[in-house]
Amino acid sequence: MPNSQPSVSLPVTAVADLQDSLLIVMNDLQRLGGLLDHATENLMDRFSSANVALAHMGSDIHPELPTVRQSLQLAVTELQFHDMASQLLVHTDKILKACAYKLAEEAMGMDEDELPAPSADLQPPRPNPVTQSEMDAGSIELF
Amino acid sequence: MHSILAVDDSASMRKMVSFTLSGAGYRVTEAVDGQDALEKAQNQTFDLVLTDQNMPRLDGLGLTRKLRESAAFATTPILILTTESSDQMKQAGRAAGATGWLVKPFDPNRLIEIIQKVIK
Repeated sequence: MPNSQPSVSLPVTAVADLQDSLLIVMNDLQRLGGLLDHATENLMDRFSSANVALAHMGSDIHPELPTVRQSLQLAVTELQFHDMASQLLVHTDKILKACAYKLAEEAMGMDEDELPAPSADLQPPRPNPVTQSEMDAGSIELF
Repeated sequence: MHSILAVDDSASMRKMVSFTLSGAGYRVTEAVDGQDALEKAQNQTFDLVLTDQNMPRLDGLGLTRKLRESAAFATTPILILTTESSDQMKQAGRAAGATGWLVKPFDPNRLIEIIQKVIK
């Protein structure tokens, strides 16, 4: 049965270049994830230390303490950036991986000894779980 | 003192939730995913479960369904705290037996207000 879908052909070198680029982006994203993890871990440690230190200070001696404590508590909203950024990175990585597999499959075919890609990598990724574009607090719905 | 089971695969999120709830006087037990939460819930009861949705092994909806099968958690408030904000996911949460759906990031004061409201 003839394929009615329009198609384009690309030189193998162009496909290889595209795959290299995808690989570079995936590696960069992985590095970005590592940097975020490291920075967040340190930030959380310092956040906890500051909180413990504040807890040991008396408001009677330092009248400005309640304001400082409140500011620290409100920073919790913004400190959730790591969770959202990590989920975005995972989602983007899945899309890029699916592109790389699709490109290889369509342009070059699979070698006989090559293992097929894990089925999850070939599935179109589910909708992005992170749709927020700002760090404003999200909605609340009680059922 | 009310006890809360806080479930999230993100260590930073668990820390933020614990910081907020401990500061408000709640006793917080942390679980790293739905399966871990389920195991903790077999040995202990909680006044409220606050869970993420997207987690390895067992997600928030799966955890909610499993907990609702247990008599000990039949009426315990279960809040899902997630980045997911689609109506479809919220409906799935309601169908699973969740008490409410909170979209991340959470405001600490609002979270405490909601928890005070749903814990009887």
